[in-house]
Amino acid sequence: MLATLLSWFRDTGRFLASHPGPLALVVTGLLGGVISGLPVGDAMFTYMWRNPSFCDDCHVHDFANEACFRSVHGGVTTCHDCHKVPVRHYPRNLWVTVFDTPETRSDIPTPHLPLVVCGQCHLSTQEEEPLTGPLTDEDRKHVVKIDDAPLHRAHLDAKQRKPSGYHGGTDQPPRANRSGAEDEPDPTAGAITCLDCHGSDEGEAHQFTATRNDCVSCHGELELPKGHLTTVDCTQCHLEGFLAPERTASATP
Amino acid sequence: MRTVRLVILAFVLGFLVTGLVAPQTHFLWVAIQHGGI
Repeated sequence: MLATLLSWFRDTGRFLASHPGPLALVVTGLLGGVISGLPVGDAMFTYMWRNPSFCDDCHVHDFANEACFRSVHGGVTTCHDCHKVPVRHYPRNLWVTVFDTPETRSDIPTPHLPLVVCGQCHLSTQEEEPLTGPLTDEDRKHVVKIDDAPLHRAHLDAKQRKPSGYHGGTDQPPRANRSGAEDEPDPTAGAITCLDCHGSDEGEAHQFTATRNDCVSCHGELELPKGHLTTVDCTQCHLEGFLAPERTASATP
Repeated sequence: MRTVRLVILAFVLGFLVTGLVAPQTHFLWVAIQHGGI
């Protein structure tokens, strides 16, 4: 078989070397094929890297897909801007999909996203981080940056995850990055990460809005046992501090 | 006839390289850059 193939290459090479006309036609055919394949290759790469359908072929989790499309991220980006997975993920996930298909939400592990992934769009200091998904540079400029928002700054600069007693810190360890991933950080150590407040509970996905439960899971001692404030969402008063570039006059002590 | 076969073969090979092989290697390279091995 190999000898036949080598013989064919040898004979064909001799034929083309001694016949310039056919050689030119073959080179033209090769170039024609290369050029014809470019749009096909471009479409294939776009499908694999930018189209969520490529991920959805294996990640059959409608609740996560629909939650993402409903979220603020829906319509501006897809999976690969945030979920940067190692190459080994692809064959492993294909194997799991075919031979060990997840049946319930609990069978699907929640990914851990480091701060840098959120920061590449939401921190002005990480604007140079390369994006790998479909989010355009123009859209990226309009994404809310939270570096200078005083309450976001306080959380980003915190030396520990548990707030002080003055800030309502409880003796319970704060609700951790709820990913459940193996490399999930110790819930009581290290810096606060975005998913501590903007992550999802097990069995949920893409619930980015921080809720009262997210706040009181760490600031539990500030939660009043009775009265009007027991039903008021924390963000009704504190949202501005998480968004405003400067502390407002009314909030300045 | 031999020339026609060779032209067709060359066209198919060129098409496969840029249409199938190149996007796969590009995908792998980008994935390795941003997600590792």
